[in-house]
Amino acid sequence: MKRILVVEDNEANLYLVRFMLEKKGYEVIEAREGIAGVELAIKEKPDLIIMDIQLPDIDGLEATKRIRASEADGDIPIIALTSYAMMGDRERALAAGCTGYIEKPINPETFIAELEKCL
Amino acid sequence: MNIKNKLYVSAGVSIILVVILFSLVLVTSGRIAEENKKHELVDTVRWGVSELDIVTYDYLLHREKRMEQQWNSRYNSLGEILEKATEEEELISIRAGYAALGDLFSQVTANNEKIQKLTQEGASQEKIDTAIGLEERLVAQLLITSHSVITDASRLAEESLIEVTEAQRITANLTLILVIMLAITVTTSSLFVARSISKPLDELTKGTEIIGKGDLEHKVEVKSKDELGQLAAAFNNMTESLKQTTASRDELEEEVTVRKQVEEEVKKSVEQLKQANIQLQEMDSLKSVFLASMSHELRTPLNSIIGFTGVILMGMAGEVNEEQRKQLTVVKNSASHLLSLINDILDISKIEADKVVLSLEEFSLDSVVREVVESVSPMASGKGLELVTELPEGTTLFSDRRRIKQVLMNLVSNAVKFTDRGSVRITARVSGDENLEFRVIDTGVGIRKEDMYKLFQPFQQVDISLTKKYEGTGLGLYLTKKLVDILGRDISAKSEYGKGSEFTFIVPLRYEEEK
Repeated sequence: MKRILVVEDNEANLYLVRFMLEKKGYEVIEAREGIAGVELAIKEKPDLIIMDIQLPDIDGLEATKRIRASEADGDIPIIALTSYAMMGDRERALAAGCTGYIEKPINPETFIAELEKCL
Repeated sequence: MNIKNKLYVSAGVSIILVVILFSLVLVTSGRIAEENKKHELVDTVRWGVSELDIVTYDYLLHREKRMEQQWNSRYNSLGEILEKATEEEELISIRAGYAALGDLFSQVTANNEKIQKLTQEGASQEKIDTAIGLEERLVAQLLITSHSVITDASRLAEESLIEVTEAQRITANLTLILVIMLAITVTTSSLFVARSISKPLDELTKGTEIIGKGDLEHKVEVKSKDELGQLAAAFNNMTESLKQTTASRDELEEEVTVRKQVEEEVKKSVEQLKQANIQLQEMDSLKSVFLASMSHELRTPLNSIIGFTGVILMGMAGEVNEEQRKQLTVVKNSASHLLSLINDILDISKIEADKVVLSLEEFSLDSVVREVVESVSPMASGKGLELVTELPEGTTLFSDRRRIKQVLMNLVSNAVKFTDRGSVRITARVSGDENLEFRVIDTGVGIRKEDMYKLFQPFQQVDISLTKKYEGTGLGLYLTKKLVDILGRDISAKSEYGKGSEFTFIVPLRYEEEK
């Protein structure tokens, strides 16, 4: 069973993502802050990370950079949750080391398919 | 009366007085001289008579012929004197006495000769005695007459002396009175004239000093009608015109002061306006920042609503019946509409706050247009519309792909939305070497001429009645125009109401950073 780390501070969104992932049979671990997310990523080495850009302590970009910096072997796919309106988020996310991005609002019909492209 | 005339009058009066005095002196001195002459005459007569008296005595003592001749000589010279003074009435008695003296003396001499002759003849003693007796009487008469004449002459001399003294006294008194009068007149008139000059002069001096000190309200009080009165009037006029000049100068100064104040106020106002403008700009920028962050806060719960609605609609949370599906679809669509409104507002506020970050990349024209067509084709085919694209082959753009797509998407979805039958054509052609000209042409409802100006304004869906039929944010074209302003060169529209519309926008093939 593949493990997916969701770093998201918004409870509703976290619940939505967790719900969809668990429905699809993934094991979900979660972090609500950037630093906690980085620690969890290093410790648990999940198969995929879903990273929200806006986080309370360090943002998703910084967290991504730290995760990438800590990695010795192989890249964990990191998918950024970007906001439609935040122009430049995508570019910055990719520059920070994200593998891909999914735009909010999450479309349940396409979410899993897009996610599985990166696995 | 003016001062000149006053002086003339004063001098005239003095001169008249002097003339009177002089005439009086002349007249009285003449009279004195006359009286003196008379006195001298009378005196001479008196002396003459006295000498004659003495000679008479001499004769009577000696009875010599020589004495007789001497007497006659004296008598004649006295007679000459009396002859000269014929006019003197006072001498009448003397003249009478004189005549009597001559008569008596000649009788005496004649009688004496008679006596001598009688003696020589040896006439009778009786005759001689008679003659001697006559002589005695005659001598007595002669002496009495002589003394009487002397007395008269002495009296006359005394009288004339008194008259002389009297005349001198009167003259002296008159002269004194006139001199006093003259002195009084001269003094009075001088004082009067001096007063009539010095008082107004004092007033004028005082006035000059007061006005010199700046009190222009002061009036010189000189009521006289002379030159000084005129001077005072002229002085007052001068003061008045000076006052007016000063007043107008003061007004001018005041005006200058007021203008300076106004200028100051204008400067202040300009400064305040500048400050207000800066504040406004800050507030405007703040507003946009606020809108941006608020939109973000609004989007987060909407994302949840849309996401969960989608999850439920997919049946992931369990069976959904038809009615629930219908209602959940409304929820989802409403939430999506709200989200796109918020997104548009956010885009606009970012553009207006100059906070747009472009993401420039190289991309093919084909891919963008294809994505747009793909997303609107379900709706177009649902309405039975033909979607046509006419594109130059293999064209690439260097620009913000997403925003170009956004502009094109807005125009194409609008075209599809407002067209019920016919077609929507999307064309692009390279114009010049550096621009790409897009056209979106529909056969839809079109736009009224009078509504054209509203096209690119916010929340202005052209026909209000259409709002219900054609859902939209009302921000689409406004945002589109804003985006073209940033990315492109120009956007324009033409339309024939009821027949269709044509939107054109031009973007550079390669976006230049400085653009």
